[in-house]
Amino acid sequence: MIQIVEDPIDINLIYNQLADPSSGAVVLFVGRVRNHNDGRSIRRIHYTAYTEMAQSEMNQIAEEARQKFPISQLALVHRIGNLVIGDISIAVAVGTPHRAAAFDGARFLIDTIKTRVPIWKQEFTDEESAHWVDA
Amino acid sequence: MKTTVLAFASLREALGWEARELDIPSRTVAGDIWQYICPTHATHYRQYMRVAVNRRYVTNDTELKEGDEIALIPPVAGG
Repeated sequence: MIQIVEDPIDINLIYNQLADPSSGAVVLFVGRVRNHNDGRSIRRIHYTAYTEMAQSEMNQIAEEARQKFPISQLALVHRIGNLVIGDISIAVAVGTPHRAAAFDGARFLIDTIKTRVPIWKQEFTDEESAHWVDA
Repeated sequence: MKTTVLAFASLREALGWEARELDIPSRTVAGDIWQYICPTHATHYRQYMRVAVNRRYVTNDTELKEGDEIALIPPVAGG
């Protein structure tokens, strides 16, 4: 399950996808919109993407993770569009036989997604001023 | 060579467009695309932006080809 979506992310659905009985460990990372960044009070965030390339980069990153770690199953779901405080922007789930690889694999996936996938976010503050985030 | 150029995020805002057809000389390399997009800020953009061709990141010395889809990529902020 590697997707870019505009609807709210259902983490129960994602977890239930990772049902491989050989996975003794599942790590689920959830990224959410928080209410502050760099001293600014955030009201909402607008995510945009170069969707076709973002999808192919996420596919590529998933393949790299599979090469590095003994991953049975994984899920990467990123939401774009208008999100408010507390909304889930990304879910990364990894199922492996043992826990060390699940933690490491999930860390690798989120860290790599954040550096490569062509998705951008624009923060809107309480005063409705907009700021492109340069991560 | 006829190419399609796509601009995203802060760059789309700065340039005022999201896509355009661009005719460039043959043997133009990716890093030189900025000369045709915004000559006054080409050096800055070349340093801080990335270029993707046909949905894959390329290095600045990658030669462009007829029909390429060239994407101008500001620093990403996904996750």
